[in-house]
Amino acid sequence: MKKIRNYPKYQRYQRRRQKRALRNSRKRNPKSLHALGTSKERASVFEKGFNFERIDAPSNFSFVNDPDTFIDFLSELKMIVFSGKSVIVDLSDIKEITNDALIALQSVIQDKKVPRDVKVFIQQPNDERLSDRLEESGINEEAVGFNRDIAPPSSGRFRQKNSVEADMEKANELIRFATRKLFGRKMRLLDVQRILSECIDNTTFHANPEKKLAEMWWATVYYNSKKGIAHFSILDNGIGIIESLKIKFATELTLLFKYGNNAKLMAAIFKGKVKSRTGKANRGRGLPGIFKARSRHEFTNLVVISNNVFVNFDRKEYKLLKNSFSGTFFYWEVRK
Amino acid sequence: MTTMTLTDTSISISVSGNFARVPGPRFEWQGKSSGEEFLKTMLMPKFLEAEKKGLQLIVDLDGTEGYSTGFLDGSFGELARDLGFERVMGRLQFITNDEPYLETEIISYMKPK
Repeated sequence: MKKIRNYPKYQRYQRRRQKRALRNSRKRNPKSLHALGTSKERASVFEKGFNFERIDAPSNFSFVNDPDTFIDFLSELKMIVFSGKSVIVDLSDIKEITNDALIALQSVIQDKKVPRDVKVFIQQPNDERLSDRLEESGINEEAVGFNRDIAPPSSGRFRQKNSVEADMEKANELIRFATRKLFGRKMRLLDVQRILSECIDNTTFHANPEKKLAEMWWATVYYNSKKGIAHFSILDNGIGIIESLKIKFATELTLLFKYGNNAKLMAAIFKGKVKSRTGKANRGRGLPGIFKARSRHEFTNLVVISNNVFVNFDRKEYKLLKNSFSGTFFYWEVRK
Repeated sequence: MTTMTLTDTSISISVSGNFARVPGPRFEWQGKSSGEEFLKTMLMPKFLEAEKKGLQLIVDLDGTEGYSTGFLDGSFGELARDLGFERVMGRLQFITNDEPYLETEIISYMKPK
């Protein structure tokens, strides 16, 4: 049965109710954050008071659809916040937004390398539809601005999970959420669980070769009710698949000589032709396992971005990117 | 919870019933329900028990939410590396109705390289 909160009439009613509550809150406490008016006005006040840097988000705010521009944006954002400066992320002019970009943004905002006193202010999109999507993800401008504590959503079409540990049960909750939305009941998706498990296993083991459990994984699912598609993504901000193999200089030279470039090397990794960085014969099977799982058609449109390589398996596309992403990103879809 | 069963010819264990519905990573330090933990607490002791009694060990892999290669290699692969491929294969059987390809995959992890 359709829930009442999903009816457009109820949603319009809620929007009007929230606006009324905001108006009343401003009247009651004129010095509150709400009283500063629009998101843009609040941003300008913060900018003056805290000496914020400003960074414009790309209009197509999507990791999977426009990786080069998005990586550029992420690198700039990381540079600012890792150096201890507060920042306003201006999303006001974006034309599109995807859940993979939101989780990537969140992973940077909440990265352990960001000093505690750094503030990140998200300037809301002008487009109400996109603004709603942002709210739904739990990235609330006030929460982000003050303590970067983003509350994971408990309702709506978006779910996210993160951890430093290889907690497969946590990741499995995303599958349960997606299948409930897609098929109306909890179902197992064995190959989707495999992608999540392999990625999480790799993050906890390879993402930081110097320290155990140093990097966090971030996973998300967004359910598009109009198209009947669940969009999954998982990422970490570790060293990336290619770089994890090139820890030793001699290995780097050998790989470069044998495969020519990173895109060809990535293809070889997924086909199981390259040994893991551990050098052990029984390792390095996780990514080939994902490659094989594709043929069982439980999921489609698998995309991998790591270091300077973009792979779209369905289109057999292995290409080099202009900008390099320090980390590993997986995206795929499950359809009704 | 499913119980381990003992017949005249075999001992059966179920990963989802006796260990975890969502199997974890390779090593114990990575997180809970790991392949290493499964090997230590269940697979190895039950294998040795089956061997002592001259029985087969049947491992039911059905009913879980899905496996990572780390879990499979960290448990079955390690068992074969510790005790020897021939010795293990002579006594181990699998039930893999959910994912029929798992048996071939596990055997490839167990074979010496």
